[in-house]
Amino acid sequence: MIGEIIALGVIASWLIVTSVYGYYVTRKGFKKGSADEWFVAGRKLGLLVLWLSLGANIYSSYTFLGLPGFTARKGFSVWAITVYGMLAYLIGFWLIPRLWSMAKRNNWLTLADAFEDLYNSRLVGGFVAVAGALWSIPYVQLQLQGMGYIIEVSGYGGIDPFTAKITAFLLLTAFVVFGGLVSVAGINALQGAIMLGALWSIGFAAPLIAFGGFDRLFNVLQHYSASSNGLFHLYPTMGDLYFLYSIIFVAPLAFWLWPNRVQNIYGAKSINTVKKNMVLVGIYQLGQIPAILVGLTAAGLYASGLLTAPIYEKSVADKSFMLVTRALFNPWIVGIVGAAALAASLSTAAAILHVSGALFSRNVLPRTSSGRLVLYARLFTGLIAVISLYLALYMPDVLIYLLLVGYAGIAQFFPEYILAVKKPGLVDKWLAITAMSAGMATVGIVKGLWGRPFNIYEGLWGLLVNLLILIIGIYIKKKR
Amino acid sequence: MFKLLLLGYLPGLLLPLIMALFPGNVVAAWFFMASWVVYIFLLLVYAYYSEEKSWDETS
Repeated sequence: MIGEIIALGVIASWLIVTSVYGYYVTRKGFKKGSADEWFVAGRKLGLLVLWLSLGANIYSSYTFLGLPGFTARKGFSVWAITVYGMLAYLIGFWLIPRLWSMAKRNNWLTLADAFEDLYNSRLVGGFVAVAGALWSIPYVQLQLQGMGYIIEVSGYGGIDPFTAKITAFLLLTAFVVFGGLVSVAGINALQGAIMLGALWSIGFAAPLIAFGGFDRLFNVLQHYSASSNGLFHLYPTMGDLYFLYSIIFVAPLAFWLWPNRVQNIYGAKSINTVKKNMVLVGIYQLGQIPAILVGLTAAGLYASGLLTAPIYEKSVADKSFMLVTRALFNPWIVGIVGAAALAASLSTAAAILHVSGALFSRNVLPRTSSGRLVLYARLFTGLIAVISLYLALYMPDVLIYLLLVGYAGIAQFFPEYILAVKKPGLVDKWLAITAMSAGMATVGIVKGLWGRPFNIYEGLWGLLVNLLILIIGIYIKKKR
Repeated sequence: MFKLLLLGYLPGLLLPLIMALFPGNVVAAWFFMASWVVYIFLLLVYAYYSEEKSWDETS
């Protein structure tokens, strides 16, 4: 009972601090009350705030909970996720500074603005806005589920996930509806700082405390791997290689086209800030290595009988980070880690919701005054949040799978974006919408009907169909 | 930049080689993957410093 009070008390205190800070920054920033301020923080985010806020925006429940859970269940496969993420920074280093420059020059406030301008079509912008918001729903669902797991484990069983998710949902919606990117970026900067500290300290401390060294951990895991009927394995299989090779060519294309990340980048005050951040945010990506170590520690503790929860089960695996912390550390540390993990989820979900509202109000609704624009953005944000909450409560899934499906959908924007930038006029608006829609539909059909055939990432099938339609369309256009 | 991207993906071709050279060796496979991630990060740092001088804000 004492443990529960301490851990939850620390988490609640952190939430209060971030709420007060968010409210203060929102009030301060909102005096100007412009759409520019609400959407992209007036394009004035400096290096440190952008770094911390991008880190908190990108690294969420999937890093804190999903990645250790995936490691504890599958072992080697997790490297595919970490490698594609790091490759995405190389692509981003080339792509993002150019996008930022074009955004500033053309006064783009959202990703859909870019498409609308590049294709000279409000229809394309509207399509990207709606598709971007819809593919973001599983990402918000992931965060709400994650928050539920954190509070459930931190409560030592004293709080049911339903209550926890509802509380988190209310806080989250309040952050976004009454703020904008000003408050989201400000809160994210705080969240990013606590996340980074918790990831690295627990990641390296946990295996050392539990097993006395990495060699001993791997010895335990090798025995466990041999007895787990192939589900958990440390040595790569052919299936792992198919997954690795298919995901590293597709997911990095989506990495920087998530509408929330694009909008966070738009908030940068200079191109140098953007470029430096492409390198510095990579430090967060390196932080996935300690997260993997926590997953291995969870599997090792289970193999040694020190953790009784069946870690190989989908619903339990995603709680690995919190279960390891609870098994090895006192409630104060559990509270701090819980606050960091909650911060990760809250900050990402807030950014996604904020951007979903922005996309809908700006790129789908008819042009209107700045004040009405902000109002519609807030209403749509609430709608997306409610849908995500419903899915989190009644249709939960494995965190990493939710993330990967979202990536597969968002990746379908990439060919059309690059072609419009590099070869303007080559692809017209109808061909672009048809190809993107076909790619997204393929992802949905493949995932829905067959799951992941041959362990090949579903995004690859979608991208192949997308490209095929583009090639046929361009060929027909040239023949005319 | 294209060269750096190719260099980033290159270790993917080496993984089967590592598996052939060290069959069943878990430590070699995990060390290789961790090194691949760190190596891409170093490529990123290199990209920043090598392009810093030539960067054109209007490009």
